[in-house]
Amino acid sequence: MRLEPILKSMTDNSIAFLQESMEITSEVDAENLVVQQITLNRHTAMIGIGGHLNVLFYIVYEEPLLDYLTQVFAGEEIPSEEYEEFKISAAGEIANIIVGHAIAPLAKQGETINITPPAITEQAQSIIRSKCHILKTKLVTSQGAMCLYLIGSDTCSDLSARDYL
Amino acid sequence: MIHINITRTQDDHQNIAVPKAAKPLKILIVDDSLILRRNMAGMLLSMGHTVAGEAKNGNEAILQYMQLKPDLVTMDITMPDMDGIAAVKEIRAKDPKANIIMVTSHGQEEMVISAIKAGAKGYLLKPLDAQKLSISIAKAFNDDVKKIVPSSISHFDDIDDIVIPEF
Repeated sequence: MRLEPILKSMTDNSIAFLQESMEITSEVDAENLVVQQITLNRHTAMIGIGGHLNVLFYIVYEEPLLDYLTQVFAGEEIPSEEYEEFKISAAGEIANIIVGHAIAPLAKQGETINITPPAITEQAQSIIRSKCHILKTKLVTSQGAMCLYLIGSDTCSDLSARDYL
Repeated sequence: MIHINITRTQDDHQNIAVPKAAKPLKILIVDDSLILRRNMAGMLLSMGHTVAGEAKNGNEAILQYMQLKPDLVTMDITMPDMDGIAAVKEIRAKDPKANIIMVTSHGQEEMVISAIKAGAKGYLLKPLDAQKLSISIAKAFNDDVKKIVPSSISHFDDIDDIVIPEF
């Protein structure tokens, strides 16, 4: 399957989630850009998506936005000693909800599309894939931006969502 | 404490009155996400229920279930170590009367069906809200509710079609 409709579904569901559950408006700043590199911030969320999609999905949050989302998601004051764990948890769970909603309409009839539990990066790093198809969409909000990335792992023999499932 | 300039509360966020439980229950929350466990706990407490304990994966859930003997378990499906479906099977094998509601993301309907077949009494879609949670709990304890297994995504969308097993 082409990556564009998958990323479009991720984008639409991200905008809807931010609006409906986090009450923050977002706009597409750049859509379906083909890139060679993903720069992963601390707290980037990664989910492997199986089935016929077989892609890796990343959300790279700007820190102020993730702080905002963590606070709204928690709905309560967060003790400082637990703040980091809340932030990791929010980064993963937001990705999980977006992916869950986005893949539902993309599944073939009767197909089960497994997704991995979200993995969260602990430090900044980069993924460079000169032979892979990487697509990027950037969403901007009043609290900061988040970038959505898809890696089409069928073209990357050393990197497959199925390896994570 | 961390302070960010956000003025609304959890209840404002959901913009609904939190339904009070007719019968307070002792509930075990199973989810690998801390923030969802706390979300869930806050909602359950505001409904008048008691949080018996929290578990981060299926293995912890089984141990805590046997120790705490809760009235109800809310069980995430996708978790590391042991997932929610395997945990449902183990718990129901040890206690065939265990009341378990699956908590799941959209798009995992096949996994929900597997969990229902394993003995779960219903499901709840993320993101959570108190209204959906209250309905799910009520239906899990209502034996007269029509028994339905989800067969399509549109069917799965409707919280009124909460699943009660007949296996």
